[in-house]
Amino acid sequence: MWVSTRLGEMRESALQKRVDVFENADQRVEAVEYCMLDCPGAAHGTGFPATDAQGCFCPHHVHRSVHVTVKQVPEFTISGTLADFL
Amino acid sequence: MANSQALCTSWKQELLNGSHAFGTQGANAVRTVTTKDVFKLALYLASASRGASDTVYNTTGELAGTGNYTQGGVILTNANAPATSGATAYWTPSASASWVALTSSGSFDAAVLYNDSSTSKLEVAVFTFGAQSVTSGTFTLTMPTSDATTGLIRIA
Repeated sequence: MWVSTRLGEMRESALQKRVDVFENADQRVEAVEYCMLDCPGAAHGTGFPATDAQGCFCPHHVHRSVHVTVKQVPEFTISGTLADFL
Repeated sequence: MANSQALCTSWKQELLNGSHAFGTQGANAVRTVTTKDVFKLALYLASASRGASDTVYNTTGELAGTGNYTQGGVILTNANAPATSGATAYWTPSASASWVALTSSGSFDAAVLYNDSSTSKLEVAVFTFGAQSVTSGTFTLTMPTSDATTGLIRIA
């Protein structure tokens, strides 16, 4: 399988893959990130996702895709019942 | 500053003025809307300040037009007619919004829905999610189930 990266198309076998899933009542966010096998990023040194402000595991990643599923958004309510008009 | 999830206040007024056609309407004595408006979704940086007080789409805080992102966003597929269930009216785009081969110009956490058919690009709503960045990848925003409980726009 080939992966589009900032370095061009690369074989998935030449990359290390991380998947992060966040989910709450309103949304589900799944991020897929690829780094080089010899990536010096801190996340790979510790073995734990070391996410930065943008939610990335590693600042040296070559590919990152995100899939957000909106589960629910706030409802717009018009306040008014029949009694209000009587 | 930060983006805030909201239905724009101006949009509520525009509903009363008949400024948006999410679907086609039945004829009334004055007019018949037989053509739906085109709605778009654009992505905004986490540093932007989009929210309920917005009135029209603009590029302030939008992702830069780089990395395969085109400012103005993407057209939403609209095969779902607005519907009702119980006391709630709702509408949801009928397909996901997707950006491919994207490298975002920064961390983004909001999508703005606006009426591309209107002359001034009237803004409808701001939707927020966890801040993300994309590198040579795909960003997909999958819409909620279109019903009275989870529909993207619900009026109860």
